[in-house]
Amino acid sequence: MSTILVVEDEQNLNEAYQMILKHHGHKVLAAYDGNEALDITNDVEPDLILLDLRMPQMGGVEFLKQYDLKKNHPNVKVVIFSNLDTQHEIDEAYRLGADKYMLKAWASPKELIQLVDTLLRQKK
Amino acid sequence: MTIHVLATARYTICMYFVNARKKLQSHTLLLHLVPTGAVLITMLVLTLFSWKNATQAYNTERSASMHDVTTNVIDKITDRLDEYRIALVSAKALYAASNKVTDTEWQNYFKIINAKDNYAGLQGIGIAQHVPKNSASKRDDHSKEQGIYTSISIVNYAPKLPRRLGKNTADMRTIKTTSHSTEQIVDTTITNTVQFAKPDTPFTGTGFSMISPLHKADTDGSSPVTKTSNNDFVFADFLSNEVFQSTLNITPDTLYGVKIYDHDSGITNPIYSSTNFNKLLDNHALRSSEKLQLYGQEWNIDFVFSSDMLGKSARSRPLGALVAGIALSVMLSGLVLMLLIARTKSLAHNKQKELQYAKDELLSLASHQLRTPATSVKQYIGMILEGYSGKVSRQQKTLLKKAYESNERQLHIINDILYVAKIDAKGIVLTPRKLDINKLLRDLTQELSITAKDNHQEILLKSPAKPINIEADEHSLRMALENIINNALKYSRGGTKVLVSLVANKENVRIIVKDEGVGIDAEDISLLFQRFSRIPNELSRQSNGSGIGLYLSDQLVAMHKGSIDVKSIKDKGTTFTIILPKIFIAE
Repeated sequence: MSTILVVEDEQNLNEAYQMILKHHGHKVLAAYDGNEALDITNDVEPDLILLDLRMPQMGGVEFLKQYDLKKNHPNVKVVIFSNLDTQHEIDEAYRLGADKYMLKAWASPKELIQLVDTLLRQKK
Repeated sequence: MTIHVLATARYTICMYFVNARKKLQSHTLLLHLVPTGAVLITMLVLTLFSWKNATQAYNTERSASMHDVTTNVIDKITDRLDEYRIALVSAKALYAASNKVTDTEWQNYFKIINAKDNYAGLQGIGIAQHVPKNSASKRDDHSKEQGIYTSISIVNYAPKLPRRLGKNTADMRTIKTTSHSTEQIVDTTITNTVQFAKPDTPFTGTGFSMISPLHKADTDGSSPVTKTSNNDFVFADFLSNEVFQSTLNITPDTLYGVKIYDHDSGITNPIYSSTNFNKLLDNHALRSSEKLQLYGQEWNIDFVFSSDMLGKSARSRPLGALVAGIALSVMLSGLVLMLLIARTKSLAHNKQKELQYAKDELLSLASHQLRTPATSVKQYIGMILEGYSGKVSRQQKTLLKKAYESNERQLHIINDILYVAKIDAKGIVLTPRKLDINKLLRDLTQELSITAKDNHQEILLKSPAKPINIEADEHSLRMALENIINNALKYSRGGTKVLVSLVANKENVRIIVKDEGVGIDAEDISLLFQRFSRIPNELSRQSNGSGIGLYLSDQLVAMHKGSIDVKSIKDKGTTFTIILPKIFIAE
């Protein structure tokens, strides 16, 4: 059983992802903003983070900068998902240690689970 | 519902911009014409003034030139005849010295004065002696009849003259002036035109005589001259043509001609007409007339001036200035118009760009906002379909699937809109790589055949067996072709076929998508590739296109330096031909 941190500011979507992941037996932590996510990662090292890029107070890139996962939690898998596709933001996220980029709009629940499982398997 | 609202809003906004552009056109036409017209009129007025001035200047100059000529001619004639008068008056001295002047003495005189060279036209100098009534005086060998007896000595420059005329006794001659008029003569006088003829004179031709009375005062210096004195007089005969020709020296090339005549003989019998006179009488010739009063005679001097008097170019100069001025006016106002139009176009273009940018920004923003709730819907319906909330009945599954598909379509549309906005903002960067277009088409047609089957439609691919490589960005080219093939399917009824063929030559590849669908009207073809344009027909009403697919295809193909051509027959079908170069360098 893996711990997955969902960082997404849109409440309905956040809850949907929580439901999907829990349904497949994962432990889910939720944050609605970069700041909240940092609070959580200070205490816990998740196995995988689903990270939205555009959030009101602190966005995904800023979170990664502050999280500094390469130093702190180098084993964490990070999936950037966003409904925006500004190339330079994506490049920046990759540079900061993200493992995969996914467009929220394209992933059905099934596809989301497939992606998560693939990455978690890689970890092992 | 969202889409419908979106579509309506989009349509309304677009129509507003289209109408605004139309209004701008007729308004700006006026804006252009007014200043252009002002410039044109101003320039034309200036040209007219210049032309008027130039014409006036030319006329003034010409008048002055003509005046110079007439003055010059008159002066020459006056001076010349004065010389002749002096010669005649000097001859009086001979008679004054002796009543009888021998011919030899005359010939000496002629030699002294060099009559031949200096006095062209002078034919002879003679004396007319008045024999009054009741006078028993004998003069020479003449009889004692009353009248005027003349004897004339000929200036010896006609060597063929009979010797006997060398004698003092010349032929009798009647001077055309009557005795009455000779009484009037007080001073040197020029007679009217005389036609000298044999046997009156040994010379023939048109001319005149100059008469100078021999006053008693000339002889004894005592009595004053009166009009009734009946004096003898000396006379000189002139062939006028020679006189004036040698005075004026008019050649066939001279730019003015002269004709001289007196009141009596009239213009038909002039005493002088320059050889070039008639030639100069063309349309543009100017004429003038002067009167010269000289030694009791009044001559009419007619002048004719060549139109080229001031030089060939000078005459056409004012007209040339007019033509040049008009041409310049037109050119300048044309230039002004062009500049105005260019400026307006540039402003309009900038305005349009600004509007476009604003539109795109709005679209981007709206689309991003729309994506999120649509994504939520996708997850929740997806969860139900995947059984998260328990078993789903077949009926429920059918209905949920329809909802899910509609939502997917919405997401696709949003994606298209965002893509278009990106392209317009030149945000798309192509990464061209070696691509087997044959394989791409095979994969694409296979994939689309699955959905086509639902509507009993078939996609057939005709292509060579081998791989065909081109340089292209796979993702965007795939999208472009997918849009076109989907379009073909969408606008054809069930049971029809869509034929996709691939043809390659050395430089490019040709992809032909032919359907058996509803076709497109000729006038609608131009709308085909415009954004948000959807041609209304029964099938378009059924489907929910955004009007962006073909625009996108067109843009993406263009970015590959290719082109799309459309041919269509209503109710028969449409053929899209996409031409792509094998090699291209992306911008």
